[in-house]
Amino acid sequence: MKRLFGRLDALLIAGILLLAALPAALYFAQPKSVRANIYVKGELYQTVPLDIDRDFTVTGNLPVVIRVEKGGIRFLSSPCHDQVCVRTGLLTRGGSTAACLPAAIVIRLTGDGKESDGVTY
Amino acid sequence: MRPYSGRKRRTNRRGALLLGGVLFTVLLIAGGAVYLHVRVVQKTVTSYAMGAPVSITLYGKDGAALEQCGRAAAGAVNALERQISVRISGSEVDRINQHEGPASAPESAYILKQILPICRQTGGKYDPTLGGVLRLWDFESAPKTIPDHRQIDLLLHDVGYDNLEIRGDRVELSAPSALLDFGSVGKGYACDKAAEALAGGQVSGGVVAVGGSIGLVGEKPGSRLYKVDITDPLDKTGVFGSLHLPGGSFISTSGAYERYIEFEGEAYGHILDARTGMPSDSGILSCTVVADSGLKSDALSTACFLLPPQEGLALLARNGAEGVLVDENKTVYVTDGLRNSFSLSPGSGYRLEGK
Amino acid sequence: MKGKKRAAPTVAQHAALTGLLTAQAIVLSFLENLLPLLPFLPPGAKLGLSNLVVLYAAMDLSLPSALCIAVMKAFFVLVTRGGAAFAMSLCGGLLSALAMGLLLRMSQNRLGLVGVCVGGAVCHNLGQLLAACVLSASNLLFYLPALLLFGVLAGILTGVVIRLLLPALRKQLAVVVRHWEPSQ
Repeated sequence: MKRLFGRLDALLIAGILLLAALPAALYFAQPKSVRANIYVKGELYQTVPLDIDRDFTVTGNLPVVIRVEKGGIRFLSSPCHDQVCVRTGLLTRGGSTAACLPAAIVIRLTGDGKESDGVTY
Repeated sequence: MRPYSGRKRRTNRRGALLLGGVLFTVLLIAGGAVYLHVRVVQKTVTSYAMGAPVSITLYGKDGAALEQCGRAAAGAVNALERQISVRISGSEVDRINQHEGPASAPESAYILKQILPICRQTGGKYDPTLGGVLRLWDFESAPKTIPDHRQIDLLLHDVGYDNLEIRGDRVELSAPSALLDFGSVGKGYACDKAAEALAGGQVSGGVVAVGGSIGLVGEKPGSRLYKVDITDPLDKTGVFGSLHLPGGSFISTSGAYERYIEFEGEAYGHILDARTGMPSDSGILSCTVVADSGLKSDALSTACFLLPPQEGLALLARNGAEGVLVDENKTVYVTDGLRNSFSLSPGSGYRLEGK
Repeated sequence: MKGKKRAAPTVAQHAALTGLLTAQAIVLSFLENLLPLLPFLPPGAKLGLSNLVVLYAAMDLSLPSALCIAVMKAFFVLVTRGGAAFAMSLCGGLLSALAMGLLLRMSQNRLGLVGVCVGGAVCHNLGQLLAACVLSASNLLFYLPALLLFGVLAGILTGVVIRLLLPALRKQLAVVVRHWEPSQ
């Protein structure tokens, strides 16, 4: 019968874990975000600042409730079957994403919190 | 059990190594290609025009091309200045101000066609023929006195955009002491010219800043939206809020805090009401307008500044623009379209209207 | 008679076994979904026990058979969980089956069951992520590290389980195909 586990298996696993570690490292290098972009069906629908706690509803294919709290954002409730979006939890770092596919709603935190592109006066 | 076959094993090993090597090389090349394709370069070009620093930050794939585009955009700004500056001898505005009959002035004609409707909507408070009165005040030299109101009244007789006659590309200003001055729209329009120069594929995103007027182009790598801070009118070194906007947005701000004369304990701001020749008394500290062109955003920010908050908001709505107004009570008015894009800095001491 | 007499399954036997395995895959996937969901799992993270059946088909039947099972599993998902889940299951299942088939063929005896299962699980997750990105028209790469990690863990688990179940599965096959001998 075919062998269960050998050197090559360990190598493969190590390789995959390494591949997983790289973006994870990048993620932790990101500063905390100051706003979140909400996309409905792929289009940017709303940009939400994360400094004021609030709840609001966004309707894509389904209506979901989104909550901003503790400088982060998360799906509070959704009528979708899998509840993956709600289970993703609180997003705080730039680049973090949560999605409700049945509703076609994606929350994505913007890259950096501090740097501005220009000052108008 | 399979019978051992030594030769087969050796060939297999060599084959596997070869396969591994080829795969590795392919992955390396593929990785490099993907990296180069995905990597975005940033270049900033700085310059000076219209009495203010010009900064053009560009994103794209090819650094050298970006540099070139940036220089072209800066050149476009300088070219515009040569055409519409009231101070440069031989410019369109200068020739119009000689009052020697209709002058060939395509840029000026275009600008006037765009802003005159706005001037009318302010009931004449906003007027580009106020140049003579502005010169009297001479804000640039930061004098210690203000002009005598009789001198102002004298000049006011000739002020009025109705004295302008525009035929095609020719503009004539018939009132002898009136002077055309595009100071209120020059920088915004310059952003439009710069943005035009940046079109053409090499630039995937960018920010053009001419003084305090800003033009956003394309997409910022990694976030799609740009962040533009708004200066605190009560503390020029600080910021009271910021806007997150997409490419194609142009932002201008008008505020008395930029240039003013202090005389006998009072501050006289440089944005004048054309009906009185005196600094605006609308009670607005700062007016930031977001529109689809720099010219529009700059003109509207000045016009809006001259009107009380509710009228200012109505003016913006009429012209399809959005904005953030701050009045002297530190109340911040935000148009509906910017409600989700504007973020008030915590601890700034300002209050959002309605909250 | 000396020497092995290896009987390959006939087309009919192939079809019958594929059908049988598909049913077993569906049952496994159904049971998997009944398990209580942990709060921090990203979308598409599953134990992947039904992958086990696809792998077995790739091992002792054929790659087309394995692909068939993956496709039919996806159609079951279409009926029970809807279009979005269908697309994700199809992408993940096909990619996973192809990967496992490839790994089995290319690595001969050097890659163990765990390695193949890990490869399959990771590819399954990648396929699902790709489908999710297309469906929601957005960049969901953010989920990659977690999915890879869970793919590895799921793969290890599946590998161990299939090792335990292999004798039973082969017995099942031998019932249908007489004189059948394993090639690995």
